[in-house]
Amino acid sequence: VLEEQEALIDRLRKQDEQAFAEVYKIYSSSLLRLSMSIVRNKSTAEDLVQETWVSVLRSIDRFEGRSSFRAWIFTILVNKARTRLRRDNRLVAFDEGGPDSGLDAGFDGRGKWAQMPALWDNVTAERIVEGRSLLAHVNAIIDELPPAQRAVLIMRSQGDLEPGEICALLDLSDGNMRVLLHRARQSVRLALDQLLAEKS
Amino acid sequence: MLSCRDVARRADALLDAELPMWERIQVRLHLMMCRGCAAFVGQMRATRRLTAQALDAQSAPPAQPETLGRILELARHPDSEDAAGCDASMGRDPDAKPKD
Repeated sequence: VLEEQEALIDRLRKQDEQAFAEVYKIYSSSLLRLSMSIVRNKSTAEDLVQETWVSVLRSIDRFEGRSSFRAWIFTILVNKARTRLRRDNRLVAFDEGGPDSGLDAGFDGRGKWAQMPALWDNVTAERIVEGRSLLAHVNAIIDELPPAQRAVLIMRSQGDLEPGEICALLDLSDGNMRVLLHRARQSVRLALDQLLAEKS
Repeated sequence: MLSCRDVARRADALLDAELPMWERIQVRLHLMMCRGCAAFVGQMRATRRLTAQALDAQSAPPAQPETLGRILELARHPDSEDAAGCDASMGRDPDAKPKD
């Protein structure tokens, strides 16, 4: 896969338009989702994704592979989004986490499980629940997360970025980033648990 | 001795391989003896895997030729107004990261 990606990037450097169509198809959905999480406006988010692609094409010769390609384009996008928000005077602290995960409510006074978590059997990407795959359900759950949680979850799950790099890009403390990630994962887990319990 | 609540709070760090060694050993010992926590960590592991797979699986529909053409055109003409905006927002070299 790595070799395929390197070949694709080589073709991009040679201004191969078909190679651009391929990387656009692979990464645009994640870029738009991340962009929406930060600027919270569809039209601005789409503009930023387009600007990101322009920068990627112009700067591809400077990409040396020290980070993954995806981490590189995520970094370009987040820098652009924060610059745009600052320019529009809309840059606000990116740390509102949404409600608490509710995890602590699952324990009794001695810290033991009040109700034992279910064993998840046959929880695979291909499994169909309520007429659609688990992956489609997970994508729908992610889209419902508060924006800051969604951005951190995408960057941690997909961006191949180190926690410190994500904190610097989003201007978050390490503690806040971990709270956002914890809440996002718990929300996805809880929603899946409810979905699977209804079907068992 | 860690409680089940303590273990659940550390599940993210355990799966991200970010727990200090002594805490990791304590959590592993607890997991060997506690079916509830083992099930919970199993749920968290599956959640992480499915999240990554779901995000990877969601590719964009093929772009309209005019969309790709517009981006390619802007990239080739650094003097255009939109393109200038792109460069201005490149606050730092995105590849200048302490990796590798």
